[in-house]
Amino acid sequence: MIDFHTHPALIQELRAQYPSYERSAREVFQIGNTFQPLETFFLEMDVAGIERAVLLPIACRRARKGDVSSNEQVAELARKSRRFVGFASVDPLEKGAARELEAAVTKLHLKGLKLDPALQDFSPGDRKAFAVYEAAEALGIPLVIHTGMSWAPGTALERGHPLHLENAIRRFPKLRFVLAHFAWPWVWEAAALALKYPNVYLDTACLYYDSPKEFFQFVFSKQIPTSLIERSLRNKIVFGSNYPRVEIKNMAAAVRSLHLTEGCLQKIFKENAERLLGI
Amino acid sequence: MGPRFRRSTSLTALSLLKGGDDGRGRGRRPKFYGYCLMIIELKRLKLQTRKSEEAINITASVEEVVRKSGVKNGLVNILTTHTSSGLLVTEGIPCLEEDILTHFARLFPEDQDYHHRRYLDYDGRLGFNADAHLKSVIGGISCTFPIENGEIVKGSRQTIYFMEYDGPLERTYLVQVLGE
Repeated sequence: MIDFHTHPALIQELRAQYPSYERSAREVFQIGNTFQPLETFFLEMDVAGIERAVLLPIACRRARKGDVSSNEQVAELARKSRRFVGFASVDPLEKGAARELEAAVTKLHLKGLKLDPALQDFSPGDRKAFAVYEAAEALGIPLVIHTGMSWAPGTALERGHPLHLENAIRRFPKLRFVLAHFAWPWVWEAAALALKYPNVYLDTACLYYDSPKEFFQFVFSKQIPTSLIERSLRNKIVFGSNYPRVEIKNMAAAVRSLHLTEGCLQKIFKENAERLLGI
Repeated sequence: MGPRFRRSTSLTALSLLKGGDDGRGRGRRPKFYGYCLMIIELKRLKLQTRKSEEAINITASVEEVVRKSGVKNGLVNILTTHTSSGLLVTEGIPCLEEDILTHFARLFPEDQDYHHRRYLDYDGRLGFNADAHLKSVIGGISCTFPIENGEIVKGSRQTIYFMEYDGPLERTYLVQVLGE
C-alpha cells in the first residue's frame, strides 16, 4: 500500500541539520504540531498498513521566502529508506526550472514533480509554466499538483480551481497529472477531468471539516456518488493522506469506511500508485 | 525503544530551612534544629509510542530518576505534557491494560458527535481527536508517590503507566522529585 501525498515538514532530524527548516514549517507551511523523529513517520505508516510514502517538497522561496523542504532533503530521506519515494519541486516561474527538474530526477533520483500554484503563486494555466510540464513529460515522471482549497494564509482560493489546468492537460497528453485533494470543493470538475482525460488522476488527501470519516462520507456519497468511484474512476484515484496535516491512519480508515469493493480499494491503495510510479 | 533522558535540563534547587520556624518570622520564638538540604529535581523523559493506543509501564524509569536524585525522604510527581495522553496507576498485568483501553473506548467512541472536529488555525490542521482528549481527562494526567529511605513507597502491585490515546508519537513526561 502506498500513500501518494505526504510532506516531510516536521522531521526532527532535518530540523537539527537545516537552520531554516523550522521557520518554513511554522511560517510557510503553517503547521503547529511538534517535530517528530523519523521513527514516528515509519510507525505512523505501520499503524495505517502503508508500505511506502511519496514525499512532496514545495519550492516556494520566491513567493514565500522559504521552501517547504528541499529536493536535497527529500533525496536524503529517500536514500535513508526504500519506504520513501521522493518527488522534486521547482518554481515554474524561475529561470532554469526545467533544467533544475532534470537534475533532480537524473542526479538526485527523484521520481516525480510536485507543484502548488497557491503556495508557489503561479497560475497553473500560465504558458510560462509549460516548460516545466514539458520537461516532466519528457522525463516520464508524474506530476502531483495542488488543486482545491489551500489552508496556507495569503494564498488565493481561485488558484486551486482544477479547470485552470485543462489546457495543460490537453497540451501534454503524456504527462500524468495527479490532482491533489480531489480539488475540493470542485470535486465534480475534478471528477469530470479524470473521466474525460486519460492522463488525469486524483488523490484522496482532502479534509476540510469534520472528521475524515464524516468528510469522506459526505464528499464521496453526497457530493459525488460512491458508484462513480467504484465503476468509473477506480483506475484513476490514488490514496493520499496529506500527513502530517492529518494522520495517515485516520485518512486510510476513512477511505476504507466508504462502501467500495475490495478490488476497488486495492486499486486506490496500491495498484494505481504503482502504475504511476512504475514500480 | 525505552525512554531516554533529555540532555541536561534538570533543575536542582538547594533550600536551607530552619526547623521550627513558621516561615513568616512571627509567632513563638523558633527552635533551631539545624539545616536540612531540600532537593528539587525535574527530568523530562522522552518516550516513543508505537501504536494508536497503548499502556506503557514506566515504573522502572521513574524509580531510576528517584534513585539518581539522591532524595531519601520526599515526594515524586509524574506528569504527561500532552492532552491526548495520560498517566495511570493500576496493577501491572496485560489483561488490565487491555480492559482500560477497551472500556475507555466504550466510554468515548471515536465515531461520536464531538464538537472538536474542525480546523484549528493555530495548528494548521483539523482537530478531530476528542475521544483521545476525553480519555486523558477521565483517566488523569499525573500521579504522586511518597519517597522513604530513597525508594518510592507504593503498593506491591501498583504500576505506573504512560497512556497513549492517539499515537504513535514521540511523547514527553515529567518526573519531579522533591525532598531531602
